[in-house]
Amino acid sequence: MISSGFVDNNTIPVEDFYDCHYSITRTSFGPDYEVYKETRSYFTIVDNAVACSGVANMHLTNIRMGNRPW
Amino acid sequence: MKYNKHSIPLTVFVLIFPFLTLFGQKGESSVIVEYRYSNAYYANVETLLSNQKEAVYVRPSLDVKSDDKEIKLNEEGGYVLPIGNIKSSAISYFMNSTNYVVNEYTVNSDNKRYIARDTSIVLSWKIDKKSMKKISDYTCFKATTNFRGRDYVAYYTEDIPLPFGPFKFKGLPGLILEIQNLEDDNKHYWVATKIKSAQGVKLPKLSELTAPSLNKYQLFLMDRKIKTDRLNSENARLPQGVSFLNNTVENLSIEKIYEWETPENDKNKK
Repeated sequence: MISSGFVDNNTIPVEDFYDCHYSITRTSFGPDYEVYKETRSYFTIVDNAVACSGVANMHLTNIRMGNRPW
Repeated sequence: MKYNKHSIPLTVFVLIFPFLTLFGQKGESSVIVEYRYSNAYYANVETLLSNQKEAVYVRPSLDVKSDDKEIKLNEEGGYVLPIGNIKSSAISYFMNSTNYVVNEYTVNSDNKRYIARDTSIVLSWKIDKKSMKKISDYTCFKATTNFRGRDYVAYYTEDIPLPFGPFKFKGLPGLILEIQNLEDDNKHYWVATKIKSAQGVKLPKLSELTAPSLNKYQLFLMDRKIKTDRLNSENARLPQGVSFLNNTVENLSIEKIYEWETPENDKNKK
């Protein structure tokens, strides 16, 4: 097959939306020695996986800075 | 910072005088037993003061500063926050040999005090005298039980005929020297490291302590309400566009499930 030199746009996967799921787990200790492992799952729609990673990192940074308890 | 039983220093028993002789005589004999408690996250020294009729078990307050700051990924690709500082109350458990009621005297880190009456404990021991091992110089027999959602294996010695042990474990025909649970989510492990005579030492009396009294079920409900309120308030502070999917809490504590959490149909099956 002879190639025209152009790539057909239809063959390139395009991500219009990216389902961004991530979870954050922490181990906590109650006042009476209780040990709990708590996992919270979050969801948002972004453009791609890189943006999803950015949202999760922003979330973690907020926790680290004390803007959120965790 | 992870602890397990292998990180515990070699157990050293201090024998002040022969307990066989002590407990062969009539009258009140008291002992002080130090236990080394450890789980996957921290270790601490706890103390049992006991005579044949009653006991007080003391879990001192814990204040561990963690320097672990790294955020890790778990197997599912989720983020795991480093363990924060651990701060707990000091709790003393008052027990006697005639029933399973345990009174928990708690002093919080802000010095608030209360007594919680735990009346729903059921401990049914299965003793296996064919399984024995030596702990220090004591011959210990194996006993198993299920307590609040966890299976425990204990080793007790009839050389010291006190029906008590660490935490709320009691009701065996001898002092419990070692006990641990079998589940893998979190290993709770106690081992006696020192046994001393406390001849002439009077046990503290619950009646001499003044504190508001609650029952364990009331405390459970209060704790659950605090956690739900906190979760709801945090939900409103998420990054823009992010919504909460779910929240799962895995209880890794010694008491994993309370009796009132067990569904009615499970009770009927037993």
